[in-house]
Amino acid sequence: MWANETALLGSYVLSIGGIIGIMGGLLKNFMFWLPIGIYGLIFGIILVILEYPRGRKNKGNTAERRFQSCTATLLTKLPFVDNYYFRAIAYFIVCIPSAIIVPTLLGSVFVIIGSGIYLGAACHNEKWAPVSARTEVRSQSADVTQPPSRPPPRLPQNVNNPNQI
Amino acid sequence: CCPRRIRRILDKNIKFHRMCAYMIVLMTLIHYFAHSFNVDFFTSAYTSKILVTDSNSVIQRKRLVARLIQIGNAPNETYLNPIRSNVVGTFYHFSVGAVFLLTGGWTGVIITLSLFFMVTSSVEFIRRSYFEVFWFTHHLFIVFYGFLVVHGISMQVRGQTAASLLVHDPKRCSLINPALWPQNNCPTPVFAGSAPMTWKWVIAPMVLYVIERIIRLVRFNQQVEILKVIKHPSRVIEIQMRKKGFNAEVGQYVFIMCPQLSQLEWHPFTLTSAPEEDYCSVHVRIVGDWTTGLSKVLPSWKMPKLAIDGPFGTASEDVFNYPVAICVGSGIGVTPFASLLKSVWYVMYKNLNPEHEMVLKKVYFFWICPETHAFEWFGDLLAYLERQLAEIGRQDLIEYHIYLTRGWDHKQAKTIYAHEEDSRDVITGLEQKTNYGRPNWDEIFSKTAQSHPNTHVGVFFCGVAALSAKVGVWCCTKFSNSNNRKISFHYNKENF
Repeated sequence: MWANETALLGSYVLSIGGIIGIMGGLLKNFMFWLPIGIYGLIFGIILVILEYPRGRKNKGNTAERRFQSCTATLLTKLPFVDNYYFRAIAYFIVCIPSAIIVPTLLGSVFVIIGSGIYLGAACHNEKWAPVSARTEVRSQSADVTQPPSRPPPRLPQNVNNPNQI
Repeated sequence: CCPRRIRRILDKNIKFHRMCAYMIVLMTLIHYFAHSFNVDFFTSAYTSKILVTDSNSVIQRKRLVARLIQIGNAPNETYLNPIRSNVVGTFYHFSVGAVFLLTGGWTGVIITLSLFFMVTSSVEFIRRSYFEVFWFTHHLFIVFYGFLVVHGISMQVRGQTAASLLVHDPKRCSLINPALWPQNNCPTPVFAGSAPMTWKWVIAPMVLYVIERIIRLVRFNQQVEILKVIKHPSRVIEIQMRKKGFNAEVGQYVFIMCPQLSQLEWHPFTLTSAPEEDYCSVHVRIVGDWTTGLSKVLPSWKMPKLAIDGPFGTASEDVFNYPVAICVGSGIGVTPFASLLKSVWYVMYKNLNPEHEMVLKKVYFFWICPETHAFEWFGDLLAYLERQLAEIGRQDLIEYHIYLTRGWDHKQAKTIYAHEEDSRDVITGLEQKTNYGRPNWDEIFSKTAQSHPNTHVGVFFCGVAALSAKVGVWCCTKFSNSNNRKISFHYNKENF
């Protein structure tokens, strides 16, 4: 879970670094930055898409990120993405080329740290699973119905209680 | 001591902390990206070569750069480029290498990495589900501030000194071939770096923090006597303690540490005792591993050592300053109001003489929970207070409404209907009937506005953020100045 947070923040910074690399690369002095900047931006965006959906926690409810369902369905269709070993190794390899210029160095280092944490998680046999619908926590008494929309039946003198919906 | 507006700003300390953190992150990114250009200028200065295709202005600039990096190599000269050509190894001349080898560089790497770990583990998801990750990585701030203070110690951002600017005008001399500088009245420029300034900004808060940790250490060594441990139903234990010199206001909280369970963990608990009582008590709900461990070591023949740090203040302290108070507690957020209601009773009891009337005249208390499971002790407290207030004829001081928001099944509905006519509520045993469903804040606030014109009403909230947003909006924007009744609602929220 924490690996997901680190890799996501790293991919944001990598994308911003890519943009800076492109802007600098347009200047004559920093032409070498341009191809790496484009590389950083493209892979930064790909990583954002891969990392944005939060996986399911092992126990309890998982709080989803806003609009996560758009990319989560994509992730369930891609192969290998739910394996954390794959994520660890792939992110490490992807970030090596972008670590050679300074603007994208920061994002690459962050993503490499994220891949290291993913490696640790993979050793603990964790996987990415899509978040299912929230499971209701039922109280111990049997068949408790949903909170109704109308108040319970009350005798006529209490029916005009203004403190109740 | 301070006027109400200042005290209410101090209640928003966590929000301020977050604003500072966002600003630090933003500024770190800007700082880093700006210096990435800077570092590249420094390193590429050593590899620039004059090409045949260069125009005159480009040739002049390259000559200038070549001269400037040489200044500082001769004795009695000061340098401009912190990367010196006589340093061994080409790694230094590669800009990523320079990031790690310059003093500003590697301290910056350490600072940014600590910030990265702190920020990624502070998101709400990690805080709520993996608190230890958040807690221990957040202590990296020590590394952060330590290296921040020494980040500029090598003074690697350099420029011409003021004295040198008087004799060597860069605007004029940069257009002249550096080989011809001596003839053209451009003596060798003198450079100096700017001294580190950050420590001036952070020294005061750092000193305050160190003082606070020392106070915690002193308090750790003070003895806490456990008077009573009561096991309430639904896995709640009440611990009554006494410590010399401990004085609390209403609704404050303390940090409790049990060395037997963990040397590093201090957990916050709201005090449920009133200041007028001669002991202090907390009600601990057994939820996680630390509280489960606590329930195993308490009570026992040899009570474990406990340490208390505190008391720390919250928004609820100000209740007695308002003539009318509306207190809203949801779920476990009801605990500060236990202290408050008890204290109201004590103050009332001591001030029966009309000459010593309290400012506070009326308390409306709203308790909203899915079910009363785990809070039976609070229901008992309310019943006790009801009786005590009736004895001194002031039962109109506190008006309380309990809302159970979870649904009911048909068996419960039958029971409720059958006991409709009873003088006491069948679920809680109180005179006020329990309400089912959610409160209608619109009605509640407009009714209060009608019954108390021309007053300042304090609204105190402790509970979940979603409900706080709703109540805050209703109270502050809709009703503050409505209908010319000059009633103002002041919203105070506790950190939950």
